This record gives sequence, structure tokens and C-alpha cells, in this order.
Amino acid sequence: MRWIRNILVILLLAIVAWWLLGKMDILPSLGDIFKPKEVVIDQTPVVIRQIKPLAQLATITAYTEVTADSSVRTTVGERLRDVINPFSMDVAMNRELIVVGKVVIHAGVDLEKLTPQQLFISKDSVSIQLPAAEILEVIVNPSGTDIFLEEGEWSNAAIVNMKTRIRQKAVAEAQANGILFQAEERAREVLLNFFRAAGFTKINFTKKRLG
Amino acid sequence: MLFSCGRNEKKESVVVQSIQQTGKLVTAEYSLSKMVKASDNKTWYKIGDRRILISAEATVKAGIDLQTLGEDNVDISDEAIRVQLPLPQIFSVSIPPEKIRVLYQDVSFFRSQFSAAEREDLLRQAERQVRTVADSLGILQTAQKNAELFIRNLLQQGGYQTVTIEFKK
Repeated sequence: MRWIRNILVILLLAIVAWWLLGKMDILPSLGDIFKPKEVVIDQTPVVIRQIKPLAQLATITAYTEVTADSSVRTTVGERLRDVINPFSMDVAMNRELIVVGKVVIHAGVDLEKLTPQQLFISKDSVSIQLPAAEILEVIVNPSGTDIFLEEGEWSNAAIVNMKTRIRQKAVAEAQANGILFQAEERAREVLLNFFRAAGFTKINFTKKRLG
Repeated sequence: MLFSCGRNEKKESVVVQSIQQTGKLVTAEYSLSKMVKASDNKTWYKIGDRRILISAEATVKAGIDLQTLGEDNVDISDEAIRVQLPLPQIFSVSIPPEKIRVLYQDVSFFRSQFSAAEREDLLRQAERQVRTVADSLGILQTAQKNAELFIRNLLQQGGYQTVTIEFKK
């Protein structure tokens, strides 16, 4: 019996020593040994497909967070798979997905749409008819996407669909909060300051249109 | 239980976090493409490998911040004007969801497919790589050239014969 006790003591001491050395970062902790390695993408080149000149005056940026969910009844095939799978403890009736997306919306005026007829400059005065304010860009990047809950398999198309919904919802909310009106007001302010700095004293914005 | 009807439930909640006033003159847009390649074969206790190939497109926009332009940056004498513009900067990097396509997946028998969360993690890495190399693609030079052209045309239209554009160092 004594030899069993000795083995247990040695084993206990070994575990304590491993734990202590793990805490001191000398040995990997037991948790780290069974931690899956991060999948790292290869360094691949970034290829330029198109270069486009723009003249957009972005005047309002809205930061929004949208949570969207989707629940889909599992198919007969998926349930059968659960039934015959020895590792599956139950039969899933639904596939669930909850995505939280951070959306960045840039709104402003596209000065490329400014025709010579809409901009009249004479001596010290400027008369400008601004194009209607519009949503210039809506960004839902992977860095701003959190897959909060994922039960069952969800294809890339389903995620794209979900992000599109998130984007649409964010835009609708921003528009409901008057982002276009604010963008146009701010565009006037920025251009007023620019023309004033450029020596024009009479700056007149004609006709106001909202998109 | 096996044959109940399918049904989709969809709902969203929106929180507007902040609204910021800006004054960015966006003058250049680069459309980029990137292949996202990854192999999941480094975890010692998992039997079999998984590989994935995703194609993604990104849009990078750059320009100058017109908000910082004030009277101090403009020098006018008769029909000549000298404007000192701020240096161009990258304003946005966007990877539109509809431009992300999974081209190929190879998953061993004992492994599961890449989950949506795992794919998103790979795309986050790709986004970081795009952000890192964006400067080196020449977008700032293009944005500067286009900003200069736009402001010059505007001021010439305003009657200035001589327009000198400089960028703050």
C-alpha cells in the first residue's frame, strides 16, 4: 500500500509543479494544451481592380449597431442526421443565428453631380445649387460583425443575407433620424467656410432638395 | 417531430450609437480584391484537416479633410490664390458582404465545416491585411492629385488666374 501512496504523492506533486510552472509561463497550462490553434490566413497579395476619381463631400457619419436574428426550421434530412449521429444528444428543431453588426454610414453630397449651371461664380459672389444629399457609403465590415449565436450550419449566402438586412435596417433608421437633412445642412456649412476662406463674400445656396 | 413545417422568424433591433459631423472631400476610390486562404491543421488532437478559399473585394476611399481648412491656409492677392490643403488620408475601408464568396472548402471526414463565426474571423484577418497595405498602394498620392485638380478647377472657375495648391507637411 505504501508504494501506491508514494505514486499518488509524486503524481500530486507533479500536477502542482506543472500548475505552478504553468502559472509562471514556464510550461504551457493544461488548458493551453487542449486549446485549438488559431487558424491564420496566408499572406496573399491585394490586387487593385479599379481606381476611380471621386468628388464626394462626406459630411455626416453615423455609427449604428444592429442586431438581427434568424430562426429556420431544420429540414427532415437534418433531423434524421441528428437521429443517427451517435454524438448528438438531441434532435434540433431549429437552426438559430444572431448577428450583431456595427454599421458605419457616410452621408453627404456628390459634388461630381454639380453641373456648371448649378455653380455660378462672379467676382466675390458664389451661387450654388447643391445636389441632393445622399447616402454615400454603408460599411458592415468583418471587424464589426459579431456572430453572437450560431446553432446549426449557416452558409455564406445566409450570412450575406443577414448583413444585407442589417445594412438596410441601419440605413432606414439613419434616414428616419434625418441623416440626409443633416448631411445637406453640414455640406452647406463646409462649403460656406471654404468659399469664405477663398475670398468670396457673398455665398448663396439656392433651392434645397432632399433625396 | 421529424416532419413539422418550416418557418422563418426574423427581427432586428437598432441602436444608433453616435452621429458625427465631418467635412471630408473624398477624391479617390480603390477597388481591391483579395484571396483568403487558410488551412486548419495545427491542432494536434484534431483528426483530419480543413481548408478554405474565400474571395473578397474591398473598397478603400481617401481624400482631404476640408474642415481643417481655414482663412489661415489661404493667401489671396488680386487674381492669384495660394491654398494650403491638409494632407490626404484614408477615410474608409469597406468589405461589402455581397462581395465575399466562398470558392472552395475541403473538410476531412472527422471535421466539421467552417462555421460562420470561423469564416468571419478569417475575414477579419483579411481586413487587417488590407488596412496594413492600403497606404502602399498609392491611394494617398491619387487622392492628393485628384483633390488638387478639383480645388484648382473650382477656384479657376471662381475667376482666379493663378492657383497654387500646396499640401501641409
